[in-house]
Amino acid sequence: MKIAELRNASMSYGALNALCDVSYCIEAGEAVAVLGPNGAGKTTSLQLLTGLKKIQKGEVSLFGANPRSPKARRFIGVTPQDAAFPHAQKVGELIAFAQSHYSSPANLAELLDAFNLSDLIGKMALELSGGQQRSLSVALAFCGNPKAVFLDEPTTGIDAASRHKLWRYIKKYKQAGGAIFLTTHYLEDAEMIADRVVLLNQGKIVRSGTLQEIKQAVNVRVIRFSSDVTNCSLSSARQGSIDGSRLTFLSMDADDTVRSLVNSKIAFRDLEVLPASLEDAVAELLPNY
Amino acid sequence: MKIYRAHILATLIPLLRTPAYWVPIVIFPTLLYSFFGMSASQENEEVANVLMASWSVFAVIGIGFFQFGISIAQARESKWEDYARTLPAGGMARFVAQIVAAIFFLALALTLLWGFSGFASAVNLSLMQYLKLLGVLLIGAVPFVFIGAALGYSVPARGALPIANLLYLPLAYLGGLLLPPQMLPSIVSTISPFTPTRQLGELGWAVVLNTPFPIWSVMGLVGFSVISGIIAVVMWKRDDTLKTR
Repeated sequence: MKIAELRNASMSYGALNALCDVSYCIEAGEAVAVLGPNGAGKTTSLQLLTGLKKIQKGEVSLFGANPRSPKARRFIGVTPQDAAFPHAQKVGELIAFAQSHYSSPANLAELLDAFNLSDLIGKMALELSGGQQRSLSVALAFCGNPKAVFLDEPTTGIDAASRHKLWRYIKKYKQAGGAIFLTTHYLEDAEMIADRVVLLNQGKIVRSGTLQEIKQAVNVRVIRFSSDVTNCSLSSARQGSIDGSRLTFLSMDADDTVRSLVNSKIAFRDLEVLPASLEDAVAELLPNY
Repeated sequence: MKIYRAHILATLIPLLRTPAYWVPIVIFPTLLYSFFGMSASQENEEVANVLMASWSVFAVIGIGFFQFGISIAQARESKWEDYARTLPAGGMARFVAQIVAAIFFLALALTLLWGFSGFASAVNLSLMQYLKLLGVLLIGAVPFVFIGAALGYSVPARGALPIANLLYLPLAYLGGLLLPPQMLPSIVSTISPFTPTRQLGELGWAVVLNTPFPIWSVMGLVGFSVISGIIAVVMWKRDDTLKTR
């Protein structure tokens, strides 16, 4: 069952093309990560799918209806990229306000615990730290027990422990059949949760497919080893990151690269040849990312 | 119903926690009445009733301009609105919440003003007159609500407050609410009947003096309601288009 869909969607802001003929959908129970550099069209996609923007060209649907209709939004939760909270309202009041819009809201105690908000319920939302505000913003997306959530960079500014807890909750939500639309710059987060990936650049889809398809599309292998040499060139590969004495290469032909490493007489140890991560694949497909 | 209740509470609670908002609209009419209307309201019952009606109209226009003008302008710029618009509720819940908040603050302002004037001046009205005056003020608030909404949808929040103040006091003066119409300079008294404040003032004075409503003021208020209503809707549509395109 299709939860949300863009069909040949185009949007522009003056001379800037935010989306050009973009089509993709989110199925029930599926997590789709929409990735790309700033200005790629990720947020515009989310705004179209959640009814915040009117589509200029093409079609958009949410549960088969126009997302601008409140009825279509009965089963979704949204975390916008920037959701500043209203003046003089407490955390508990904001959650109660959001929950009142849904017929069977999520268990409040569980929600507060998952987002580390239990002790903050009586505090003014604007007095929370940036990370706590972000956690509240994500909690609001889940408070209505929705069938699908739309999360625009949900973990920006959240500390590692809270981020870990938050992802545990999101994974549990997905296992229970919830659909997820995710935009993020943390590619390891996307890799952890996404079934499918849509790569956008300048409003156009560069590549879309399952996580596996995206990784395979670039045919890259990661070669990692430790060495006292910090700068070297190997055949069929380009140097990636350096972490202390640990060097990473992205190789188009792993056999050739390893052969050239051995032949180079460079002293190395702890050699690893790994399949490409999503981050490696995205770096290949979107060099400007 | 649950959604409407939630929106009403979400509108009222932050306003009640913000004295800078409610003190001017709830307290000022009574405070200004005590400064400028009290001394003339001690002996003559009729004068006292008219002055109390004038300051009641003053309270109504303040709420129309500030509750709708400034609140709408602030809400338009709030990022929270972006989240709120993704919730499964139409714009009607937010509009109803604004109306209820306005009625709530108007009730507070009028209770204070009427209580104080009843206690400290020669005001003497029957219960029926009070109820009739309340009805007139609620219906007569419509053009001021629309003017406030048109203002809120057309200017940024930083501009809404000075513009509301620029409209509020001059219109009150032109309408003969701060000084009785017969005491206004001749040029002002020529303009006065064409202002909505004077037109609503005339209706309020008619209630407390037990005279018929002047038809010209009813027609004037209807005209202002239609024109300001059209402007408010056009500005709202324009804002919605800008926000969603």
